[in-house]
Amino acid sequence: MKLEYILFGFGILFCLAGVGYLAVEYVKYLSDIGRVASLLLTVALFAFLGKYFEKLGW
Amino acid sequence: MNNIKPARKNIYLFLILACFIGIILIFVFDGYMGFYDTLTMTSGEQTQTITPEQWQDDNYPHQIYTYNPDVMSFSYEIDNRRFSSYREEIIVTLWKNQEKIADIVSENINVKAFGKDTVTWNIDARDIIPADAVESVTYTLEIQNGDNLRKTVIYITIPNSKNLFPPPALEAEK
Repeated sequence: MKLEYILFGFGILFCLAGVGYLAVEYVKYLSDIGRVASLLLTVALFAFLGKYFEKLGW
Repeated sequence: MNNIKPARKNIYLFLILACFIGIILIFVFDGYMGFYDTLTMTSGEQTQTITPEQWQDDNYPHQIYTYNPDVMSFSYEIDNRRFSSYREEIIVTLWKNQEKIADIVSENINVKAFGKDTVTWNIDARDIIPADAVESVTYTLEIQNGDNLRKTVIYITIPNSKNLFPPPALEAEK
């Protein structure tokens, strides 16, 4: 497996861990609008991620 | 397989990055920043705390219990996570049956940006417990902090009311 894919995996893992930590610590303080916006951005993030991998042919 | 233009492929990466940064910014500016206050009461060996998220929950009955009719030490911490300083007057009052029975504290605070300040006060339960109290008494502690009004019900359990208010016969023997 290429080293860059491993590094990509680590990067994605740490990003998810960071977002997960922020979610656990601060989502309880978010306003209703903030929670809806975060949810929409999360859906959009995974949608664009899926579209990106689709265009790559995976 | 990779027959799409690199620019179009990068657009999705930029959008992914933009969504990710947007989520981080929402957590920082809406979740972390703001005004947070914490009330802590220490009575005897027990300490109870009402956290900022508990204040936000209107369905949560804010209550403090003490089984020791002794001095109750309160500390009200203000955490100002803003770019500007926070100046307000903190007014603490004690209520019973919707009637104010005591003014506890009136103090002006000036919390600098991203700073903390604490207001402390003591309430001696023996000064407020009625002589005819049997098992427990309840009071409402109100903290007026600018536009924020924090209400907490204080339950004071009297383990043995006879010991607290000895009968006249015992006092004559002394």
